[in-house]
Amino acid sequence: MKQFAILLLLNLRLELRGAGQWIGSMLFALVLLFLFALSFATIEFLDTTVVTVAESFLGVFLVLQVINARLFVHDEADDAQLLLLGSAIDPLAFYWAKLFFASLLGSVVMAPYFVFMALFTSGEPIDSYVAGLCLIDMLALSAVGVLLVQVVRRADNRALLFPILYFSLNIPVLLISIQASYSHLSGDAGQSWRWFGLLLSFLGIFLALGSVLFGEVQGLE
Amino acid sequence: MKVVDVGVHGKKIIITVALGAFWLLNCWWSLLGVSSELHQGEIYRILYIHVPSAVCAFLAALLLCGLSVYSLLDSKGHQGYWGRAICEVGLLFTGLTLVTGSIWGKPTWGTWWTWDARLTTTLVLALLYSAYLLLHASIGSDAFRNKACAVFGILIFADVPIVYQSVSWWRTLHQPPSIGLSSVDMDPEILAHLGLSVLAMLALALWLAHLRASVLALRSYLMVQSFELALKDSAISSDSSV
Repeated sequence: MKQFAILLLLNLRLELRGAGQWIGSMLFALVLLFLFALSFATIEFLDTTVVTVAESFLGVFLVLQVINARLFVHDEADDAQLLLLGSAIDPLAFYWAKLFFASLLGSVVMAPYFVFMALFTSGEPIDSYVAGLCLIDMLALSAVGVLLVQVVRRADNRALLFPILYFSLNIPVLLISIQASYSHLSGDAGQSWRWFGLLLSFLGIFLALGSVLFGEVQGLE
Repeated sequence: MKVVDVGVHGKKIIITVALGAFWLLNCWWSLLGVSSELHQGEIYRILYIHVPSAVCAFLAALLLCGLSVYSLLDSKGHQGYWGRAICEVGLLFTGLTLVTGSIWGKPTWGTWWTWDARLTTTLVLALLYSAYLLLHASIGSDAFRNKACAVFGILIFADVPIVYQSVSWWRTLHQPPSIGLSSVDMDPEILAHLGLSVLAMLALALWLAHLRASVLALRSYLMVQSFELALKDSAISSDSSV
């Protein structure tokens, strides 16, 4: 637990050390909003619910895709990975620290994104259930993302390979979240909770697999 | 050291001939032996390729997962060849499922393709198998490649329940499963023949995986041999120059 806390704090301190990083997150949120506004604004037959749901989950996916791509940048820059391998740091603590780090960074971008979305498009704050689903998605996608970053670390074309692996593994999670959101927004509480349960099961599976398998690929050089 | 049996001998020929005969019998029965279906006519016969292919595609994921777990527990084995071979066979049968489904979909649904839950999730399975092969090809170090692929092989299996259950969980054009745990909604004659087709396809899939793993092992063995030979040659030439 202590190792986890220290690693998480170290990562956060490195990533969010200047005001530039915070401004960068805000700008990233705005870029996402512009991107979706340009994509969806001209399609007249789409209703607001569909657009909001699509934008929310695509936002989470894109944000985490970018964060995961540079998840080990600091470690690789100062050879911390090699030091970690030679030290007594538990791979589990390392995995969970990275997982929370990615989820927190994702939230730092997604929170202003939802505020901007409410201000500029719908005029209403995002539904709390959909926001909760986004948070669960963030954890599930990070659970897979951190593991996959480690898996492709030594691949020749990892910049190309990572999005392919990441996207194909996460499609079910995104599909389930979208179904849960539609069921909730259309007032079908029973169905929406069933999808929610399924999403939680996927989160559980991904977290368990990530915790068990991360050490397998980390300790091998 | 002999890693995988790669020789062509009596046992292999007998298995190939037996499998071929089984397949011929199966094809004859599928095309001529079973009567046509009341609503769909002759086109329904594609069922005898479509369903067994889908079964093989799913079972390949299960086998890959089992092999991946074994590979993580015993890293000294030669599961790497088998992992890649099973994945290639899985991709082949997922592709066959999509193609035959598409051919079947045109006369029954009126379209070759629709972004239906079952079709989309099956396409995801094909994407996952392709991603596994891409990962396998992208890592140079054998030990790390085997570990990385084993981890990904386990993750692939986590998505299989979604593909399988998609027809029950989503509103979809694809019909729900006719064979359940408690009830079977299918003509006994068709059911019996479908069982035989599944067996034939499974035997073919396993045989293909075995042959592919043998080829991969042989290729690896030859590479090592040629490398050692090149080293020996260079040592001899340097000795003679001295």
